[in-house]
Amino acid sequence: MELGIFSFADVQRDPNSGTLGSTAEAMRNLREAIALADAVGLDYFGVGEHHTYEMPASAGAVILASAASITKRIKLGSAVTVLSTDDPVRVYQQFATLDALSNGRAEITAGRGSSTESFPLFGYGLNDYDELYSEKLDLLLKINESNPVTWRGKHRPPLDNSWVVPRPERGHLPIWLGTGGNPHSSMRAGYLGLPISYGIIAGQAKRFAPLAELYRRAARKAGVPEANIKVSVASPGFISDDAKAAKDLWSRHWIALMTSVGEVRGFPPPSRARFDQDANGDGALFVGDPEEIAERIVALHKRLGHMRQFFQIDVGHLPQKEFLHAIELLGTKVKPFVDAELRVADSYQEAVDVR
Amino acid sequence: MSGNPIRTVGILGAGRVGTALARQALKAGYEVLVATTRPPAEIELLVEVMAPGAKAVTADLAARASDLVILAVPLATYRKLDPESLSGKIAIDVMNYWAPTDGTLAEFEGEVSSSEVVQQYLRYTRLVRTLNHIGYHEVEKMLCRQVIPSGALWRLRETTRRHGRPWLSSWIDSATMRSMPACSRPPVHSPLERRSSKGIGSATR
Repeated sequence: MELGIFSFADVQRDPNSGTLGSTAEAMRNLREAIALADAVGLDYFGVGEHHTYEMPASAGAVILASAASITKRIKLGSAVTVLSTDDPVRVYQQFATLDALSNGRAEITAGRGSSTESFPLFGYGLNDYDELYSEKLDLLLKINESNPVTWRGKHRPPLDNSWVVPRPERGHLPIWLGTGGNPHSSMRAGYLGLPISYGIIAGQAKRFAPLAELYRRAARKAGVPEANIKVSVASPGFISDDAKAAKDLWSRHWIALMTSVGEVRGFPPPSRARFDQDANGDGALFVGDPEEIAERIVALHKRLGHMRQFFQIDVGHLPQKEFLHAIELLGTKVKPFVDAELRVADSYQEAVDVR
Repeated sequence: MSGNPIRTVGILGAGRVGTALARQALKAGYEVLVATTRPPAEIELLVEVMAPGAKAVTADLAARASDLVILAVPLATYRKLDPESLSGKIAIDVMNYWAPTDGTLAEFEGEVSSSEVVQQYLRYTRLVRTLNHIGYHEVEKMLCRQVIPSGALWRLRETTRRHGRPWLSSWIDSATMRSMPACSRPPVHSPLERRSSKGIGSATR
């Protein structure tokens, strides 16, 4: 199973003065994190498009391209690209360029995104969101399918036998559909034959099991080849050497993040009790020591059958050194645990099948 | 329908909220009909997987054949609801106006609440506004949580604070928010049953 990280490039906070660090430093910190993730054997790093001072990863493809030159194997993707407020042609050109520079390691995840700052920023309205999203996804997939492209829509001038270059090394870019759990999105991904990425950020992670089943059944109904039916999971998380220390430290940063998000969106600041509910057992927050996190990934895998899980660790101004240590533990400790557990499960299944 | 028990719940909308409420209603023993603007065949698979036991039907049938209707469509599309088939019905409005994510809609920017706007449109429907203050992922916790969700308490606390009642807001804080108990055993009644036995079921026209 693939493991990885995703980030919105959280800025640092000075522990003494309490002032926020620079957004420029956040870009360099993120590149450093991607390099380490590659070095410790992680499979995937996603940069989520985000447009706030506290999380300024607005130009993910540029960060990833910079990281591409100092990494070897790790896959580099968006998590997610806010497709509704971007031009699919430009998105494709940027990630196809990243794909060339990284020798075929680029991916796109198209989604709604975690916040709506990009709408006023790029002059889009939220009112026609669904229509905008469908149309842009359609164009993005068309560009990926073949070249030159001829296409017509309502929200953008038509393309007439236009070349969108460069072309990806292996012909196509992996394009995932990112969703927060609306059943219609699972249906859409299934019918379109796209791999699906679930953002599971609160509550019980296992409640996504029926959605994954809906996605798979819709895909099979549409005749999608088994190899193209893939599920990944993105969730908040943090790993430290000691489980209690991990929860004590990271809960403060998570609560800080959710408090500021809640002020904008009108929900209450979460309590520590609420955090503990989600950070244990089947909860959506994967916070603990390497063994606990490995066990929880495997437990969720049994319900969702996902092939990749990746974690947002740097939130609420988590110190960079803690972020890096968590990445190291995910690669050097959690990944071997998960691989071993799943091998045991597989060989047991094989033994059962043989009999 | 006065005095008649509620047996069939119709849910308009099969998104996160609609399917979560469908599952809860099924658990509580109701017959559940789910509908969207699409033909039933297009949501059959969705309903079968997300709310096993519920039936995918047309919006018209979900409204007409149900004793209680839940309106769980995106608020921006409320005018696709049919006032005619909903006339004479009790409908629960779980929809919210949320401009930062759904866009600004002039008709909801005024003084009146969104439910009053919807009520004006559905003139012959008895509209009940509830369940709109709970996150969809919390709906299913309600079987093992108290009726008042923490979000509502928070808003109450914030309101009392803003209106110069700090002692009241701090009392709400200490008395309720921190001690919100998670039930250790499943309660006998679901929230819908509880509501139907006290409020909705006894409503007469």
